[in-house]
Amino acid sequence: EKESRKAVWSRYQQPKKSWIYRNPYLFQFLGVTIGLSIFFSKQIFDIFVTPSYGALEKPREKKLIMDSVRKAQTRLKVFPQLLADCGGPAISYAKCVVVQENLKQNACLQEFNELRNKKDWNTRLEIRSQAVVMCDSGKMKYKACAAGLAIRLFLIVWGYFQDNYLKVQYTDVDYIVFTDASRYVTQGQSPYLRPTYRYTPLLAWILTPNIFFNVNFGKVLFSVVDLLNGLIIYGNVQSRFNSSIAFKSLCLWLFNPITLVVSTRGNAESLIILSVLLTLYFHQRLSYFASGFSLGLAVHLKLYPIIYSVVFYTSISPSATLFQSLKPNLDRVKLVCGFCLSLVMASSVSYYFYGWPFLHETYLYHLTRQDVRHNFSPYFYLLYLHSELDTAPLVSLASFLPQLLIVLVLSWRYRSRADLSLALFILTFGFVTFNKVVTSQYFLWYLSLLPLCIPELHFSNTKLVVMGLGWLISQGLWLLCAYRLEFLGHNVMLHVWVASLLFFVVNVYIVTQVLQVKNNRRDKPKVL
Amino acid sequence: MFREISYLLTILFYLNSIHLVYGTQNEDDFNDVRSEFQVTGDGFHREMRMSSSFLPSFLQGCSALTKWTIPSGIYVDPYQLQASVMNKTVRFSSHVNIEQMAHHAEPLTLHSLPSLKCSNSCSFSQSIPFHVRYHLPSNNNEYATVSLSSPTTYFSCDCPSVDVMDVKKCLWQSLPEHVQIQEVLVPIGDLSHSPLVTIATIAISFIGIACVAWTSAIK
Repeated sequence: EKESRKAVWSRYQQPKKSWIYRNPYLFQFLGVTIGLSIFFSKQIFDIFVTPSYGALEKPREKKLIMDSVRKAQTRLKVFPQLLADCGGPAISYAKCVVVQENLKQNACLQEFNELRNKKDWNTRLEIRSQAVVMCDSGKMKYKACAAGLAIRLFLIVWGYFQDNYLKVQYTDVDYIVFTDASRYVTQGQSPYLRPTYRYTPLLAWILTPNIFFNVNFGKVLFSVVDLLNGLIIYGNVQSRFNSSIAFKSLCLWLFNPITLVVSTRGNAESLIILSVLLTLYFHQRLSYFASGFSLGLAVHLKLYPIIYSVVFYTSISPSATLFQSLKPNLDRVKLVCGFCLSLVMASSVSYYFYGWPFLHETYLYHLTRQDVRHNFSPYFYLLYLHSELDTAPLVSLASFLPQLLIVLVLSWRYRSRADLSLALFILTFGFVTFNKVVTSQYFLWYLSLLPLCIPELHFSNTKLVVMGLGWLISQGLWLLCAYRLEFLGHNVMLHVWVASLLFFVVNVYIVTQVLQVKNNRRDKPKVL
Repeated sequence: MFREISYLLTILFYLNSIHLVYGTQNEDDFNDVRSEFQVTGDGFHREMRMSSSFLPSFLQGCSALTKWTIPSGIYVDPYQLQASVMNKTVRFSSHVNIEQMAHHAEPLTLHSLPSLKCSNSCSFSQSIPFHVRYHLPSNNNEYATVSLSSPTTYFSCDCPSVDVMDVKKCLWQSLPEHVQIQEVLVPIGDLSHSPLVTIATIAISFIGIACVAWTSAIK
C-alpha cells in the first residue's frame, strides 16, 4: 500500500514533459525549416514578393521598358542569321587582312567593299525584325479571329437551345422581324408588310437564306462580319501605333461580351459598323470616292452615320479657318459624289421595288419619330408631358438643338485627319447622349468604335475607374427605377427621369474628359 | 312490353344526340357553367387567363370560340402569340399598332379557338399575354384605370374542323356566363411636374452643350 501510494505520489509530482521531448523529430524539422527561412529570407523575398511589388510601379514606365526589351529581342533573333549570311565575305576579308605583313590603307578594298555591299545591315535588320514581328502578330491575329468565330458559333448554338427550351428568349426581337420580312420577300411581296420593319430592303434581301437554308444564317453572317470589322480595326490601329497595341484592340473588339451577344442575338449592327469602318479605311488610303460611297451605303442602312459627313469632309484638307475647311476641292468633290451616288442608287432601287412604304419606314419614320415611352434619354418625360399640348413642337425643337450643336462643335474640334478615329467615337457618343430616344442598342454604335481610339485615350487608372463605374452605376440606377415602373407598376416616373438626368450628366463628363486628351501622335497619315 | 320501351328509349336517346350534334341546342342544355377570368402580373406586361367548364360532356367534335374585346388602353402583340402555342388559332379584327398611346388607339376584337377537352365535363382554358399602353398624363391621379371584360364564349357543333379565319361559316351559340370585369392600374405622368421637368431638362441639356463647347475651345 505504501509503495502504491508512493507510486501515485511520484506520478503526481513528476512534471509533464514538454512537447519537445514528446515530439523530438517534429522539433528538429521545425527548427531547421525556420532557421533556413531566416537565413535565406532575402532570396525568398526577391523571388516571390518582388514581382508583385514591381507591378505597383507606373504602367507607362513598365510599358516603355517592355517595348524596348521586345525590340532588342526581335533584333537579336535575326542576328545569327545575318552573321551566317555575311560569313563568307567576312572570312575572305579577314584572310586578306591577316596575310598582309604591312597593312596599308585600302589594302583589301575589294574584299571590304564586298563585305559592305553584300548585305545592308541596318535595312536588313529592320526588314527582318519587322517581318518577324508581323509574322508573329499575323499568326496571333488569325488565331484570335478563329477563337472569336468559335465563341460566336457556340453562342449561336446555345441561343438555339435557349429559344426552344427556356422561357426567356436569346434571339432578339429584331432578328425575328428581319426573318419575317425576308419571308415576305421570298414570297414576292414587300418586306414592309411586316410591322416594325424599319430598315433598308437590302437587309431583307441579304437574309433570304434564313428562309431557304437555315434560320440562323443571319447570325452566322453577322458573326463573320464581326471578324472583318476586327481585322479592319487591327489594320487601322497598326498603321497608327504598333502591332501589339493593334492586337489588344482586336481582342477588345472580338472578345467584348457586348459585341459577342449583339451579333449572336441577331442584331444587324455589325453591317453598319462595317460600312463605317470601310469609310474610314478608304479615307485613310486617300480613296475619297470609295470612302464617300461606303458612307452613303452606311447612311442608307441607318441614318446616324450622316453625323460623320462633316468630319470626313473637312479632314481631307484640314485648315484653321471655317471657309477653308468648307471650300470644295477635287478630293472633297469626289467624297460628295461617291456619297450621293451610293445613296441615290440604293434609294432608287429600293423605291423602284417598294415605293412610298420604303421611304416612310426607312427614312421619314426615324426623322419624325416621337417615342415618349421611358428610355435613357432625359427628354422622354419632357416629351411625354407635352405630348398633347400646344407646346409640343417647341419642346421638340428645344430637344433637337443641343444635339445639332454638339455634332457641329465636335466636328469642328476634330477636323484634322489624325483625329478621325477619335472623332468618330466622340461624335457618336455625343450624338447618342443628346438624342431624344436612347436605348441600349445605341450604346453599341460608339462602343464598337472604342477599340479604334482606345490607344489614344491616356487616362490614369483612377479616372478610368471613375468614368467606367459612373457610366455603369448611373445606368444601373436607371434600370432599377425602370424595372419598378415597367414590371412592378409603381409610379416612379420622376425617379426614372432623375436617373436619366444623372446618366446624361455622367456621359457629358466623359465627353469633356475625352476632349481634354492630348494629341501625341504624328499628323501625317501613313498610307497602307 | 319491355322490349318496346327499350326500343323507344333508344330511339329517343339517338334523337337527342342528333339534336345536340346538329346544333339546335339552347341555353337550357348547358348546365353548371363555371368560368374564371383573371389578370395576373404587375406593371405594363400582364397576362389574361380564362377558363370555362360546363356540362354536357358528350360534345366531342364540337368547337369553342372566344371573343375578347381588347380596350384601347392595352394591346396584344400578334407576333408574340404567333410564336406561342396559340399560333394559327387567333385572329385580330384589325391591325395592331404596338407603339401607339392609349388615346390614339382603338379597341379591337380578338377571336380565339381554344382546344376543348371533354371527359366528365367539357372545359377549356387559355392565357393571353397583353401589354399596357402609355396613357395621357394627369393632374389629379397617379394611375389610370383600364377595365377588361371577360371574353364571350361561343359554341358550335356544325363544323368538325373550323379555321379561325373563317368562323362565319359555322353557326355559333353563346354560352350563358356572367360577364366579369377586371381593372388594371397604369402609372401615368403627373402634369404638375411639367414646369420643373421642362426647365430642368432644357437647362441641363444646354449647360451640357456649353460645357462641351467650352472644353473644346480651351484646347
